[in-house]
Amino acid sequence: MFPLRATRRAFLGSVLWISLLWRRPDPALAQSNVVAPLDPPTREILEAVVNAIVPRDQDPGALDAGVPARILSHLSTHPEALKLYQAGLELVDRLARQSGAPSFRALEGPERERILLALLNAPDDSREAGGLFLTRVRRDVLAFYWGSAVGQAVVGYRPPLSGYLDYANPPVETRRSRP
Amino acid sequence: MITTRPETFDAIVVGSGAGGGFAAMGLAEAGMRVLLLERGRRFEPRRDFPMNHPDWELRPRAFRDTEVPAGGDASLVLEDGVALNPRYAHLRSSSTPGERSKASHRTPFRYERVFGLGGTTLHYQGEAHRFSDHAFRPASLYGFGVDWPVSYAELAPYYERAEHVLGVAGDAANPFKPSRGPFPTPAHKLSYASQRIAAGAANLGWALLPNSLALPTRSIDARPPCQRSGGCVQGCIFGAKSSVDLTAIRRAEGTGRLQVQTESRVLALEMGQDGRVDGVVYRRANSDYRVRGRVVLLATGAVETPRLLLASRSSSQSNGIANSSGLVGQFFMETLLVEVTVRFDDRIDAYRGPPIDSRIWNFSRPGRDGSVRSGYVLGVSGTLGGFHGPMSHALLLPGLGRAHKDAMRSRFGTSVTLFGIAEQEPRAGNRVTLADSKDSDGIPLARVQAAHSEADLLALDAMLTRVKELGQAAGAVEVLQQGTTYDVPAASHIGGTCRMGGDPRASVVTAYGRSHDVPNLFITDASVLPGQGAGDSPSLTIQSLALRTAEHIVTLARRREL
Repeated sequence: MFPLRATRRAFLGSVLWISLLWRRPDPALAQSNVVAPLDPPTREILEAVVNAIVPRDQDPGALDAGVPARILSHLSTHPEALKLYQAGLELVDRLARQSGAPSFRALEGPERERILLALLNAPDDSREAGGLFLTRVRRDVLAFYWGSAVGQAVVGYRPPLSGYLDYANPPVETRRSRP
Repeated sequence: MITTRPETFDAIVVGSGAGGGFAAMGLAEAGMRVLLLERGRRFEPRRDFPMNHPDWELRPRAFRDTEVPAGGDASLVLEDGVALNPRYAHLRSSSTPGERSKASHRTPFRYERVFGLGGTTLHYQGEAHRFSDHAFRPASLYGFGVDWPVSYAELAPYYERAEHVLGVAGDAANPFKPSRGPFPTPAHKLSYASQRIAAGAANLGWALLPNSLALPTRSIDARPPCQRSGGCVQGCIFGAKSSVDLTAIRRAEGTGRLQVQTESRVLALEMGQDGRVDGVVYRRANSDYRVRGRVVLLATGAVETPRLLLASRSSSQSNGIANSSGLVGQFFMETLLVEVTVRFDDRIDAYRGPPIDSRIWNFSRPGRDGSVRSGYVLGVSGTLGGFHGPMSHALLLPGLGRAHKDAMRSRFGTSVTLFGIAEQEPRAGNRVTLADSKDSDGIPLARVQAAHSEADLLALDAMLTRVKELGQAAGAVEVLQQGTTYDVPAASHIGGTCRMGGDPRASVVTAYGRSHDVPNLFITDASVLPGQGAGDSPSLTIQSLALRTAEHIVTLARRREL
């Protein structure tokens, strides 16, 4: 009798969070031209943030996995999360403009990452809405990407739908690409 | 208003987990008419469990406690734990190499309740251990804890029966266990990850041996054999794991004498003038019912059972039912656990295979490791530590962007978790009591007080050292995270809160689980365990004791001594 405990705190938190997050994406949103909770400019900032967290490289990125639609679907029914996202997206765009860029979207990948990491790694006692937003959006993007078939293929993970009858053998290399 | 049901059952079993399900089977197969009350619902593996979907990591577990509010637990008062002993600060949990929690107190005790037919066996990983013979006599042999009122030899026939119901897979040639006949199904081969760890263990002179598991390697009762999906915790989509709903309860229902009533929460036991339990009151679909049985068996676990007894006071038992000893809720034993996730340079894909397929019993006798009083065991898990699928792995890796994605590509599938689990010596100060506040059904919340002794901390310290040695000897190149119950309590092997014994002043129930005070009240869950079996998993012992209790009840009924 030995339930999964992750780092117990993290796991218990994630169980609750997944239950809040889990919701089938709205088909209209998943089809994608529909925006619902965010206006078009803010949605574009969201897409830039999502692409910075899991960028497209030799493998598909979070945009290819439809992550923005999953997030928008969640925000459409969770007003508190929507508020956090709106404030956070406005903040990252403002920080980009303060650095001399016309917008967050206009930044190159490394510059986008620099802004996001600065918010993510701010000391606990000085964290404001930006840090909370980064923690949240990072978690959402990583979960939706690596929990999807697209992300699983990148690391050669086979979901256990038919079990692992080869479990006693060395793994077979099935990664999509190597770094 | 309470509606009284017209029928009287031979037995009412409250809770359908390891103990309740097996007790119900034992009673029904012996000819008794049994009502089994379960708070959760019945699950159908293929339909209900998330691993039947490719994006399973994004889906919540079907049978988790849906009443838990964010950050809280609906049955427990969450209080700051005791102050941490700074001399053992190196035991702090850490999910990032080199970074430790800075908390000054233990986190509040909480646990994952499982509501559903089958109870915690819905999410357990199938470990099916016979406690060793020395674990029944720790006080006599080692001056540790208390001796049990039942011996290994007395329990062995019930162990054997339970193993056959479950189709336990194992290897009888385990030199650290009592000699025995063959298991019902052959042992699982060691997973590739465990083979790697076994080589390291051998270098240290330890033996990493196949675990005994209620994950049959052959088809049992028309269920498929284990498919090694590693998904026991999420619920086995193949219906291969021998959870109690698919084994004991299914058998009991086959007799036609078991009535299972799910989504029914027991609110109170009612006492009659004759000092016996006269009725069980439960709530179902917002209506309250009273039902009567000649005997009542409680099997709701080491927190909920004492909670119900303490909350069900009567005029003659103002201290709680079955509590003339004052020991209901006392001697709470938590889980002493360390887990260390290590990384190899190459891919091992430890998520494949039974989740805990191997164990090391070299230290399972108390006193085998220097000044450590507890016996403990070590083990290998592909799924503990949270490194199961890509999503959980990604969330535990720091950073974002290109570096994070590169780290995922190079590191996913390279880690495995090594753990140690020790027996905690029972102490009166560790206990379950009632709080002033109540839950939504008006039942007082439980308060769990759990502190470590110096001996507990020494055991954690020793196990942390041993698992790190093991990882190093096996060729691991990095420790990714460590978790210990020094600062974050765990609840997988809790017990002891209605301990069994021969002396009514020093125990709550007899060796057969019968209340010393209330002749038609029995307890068949982890509450009755006087010890923790030197780190082995308790479910098979709970199941075997439940069979023994059921047999005893049948004997008493035939003698008209109930």
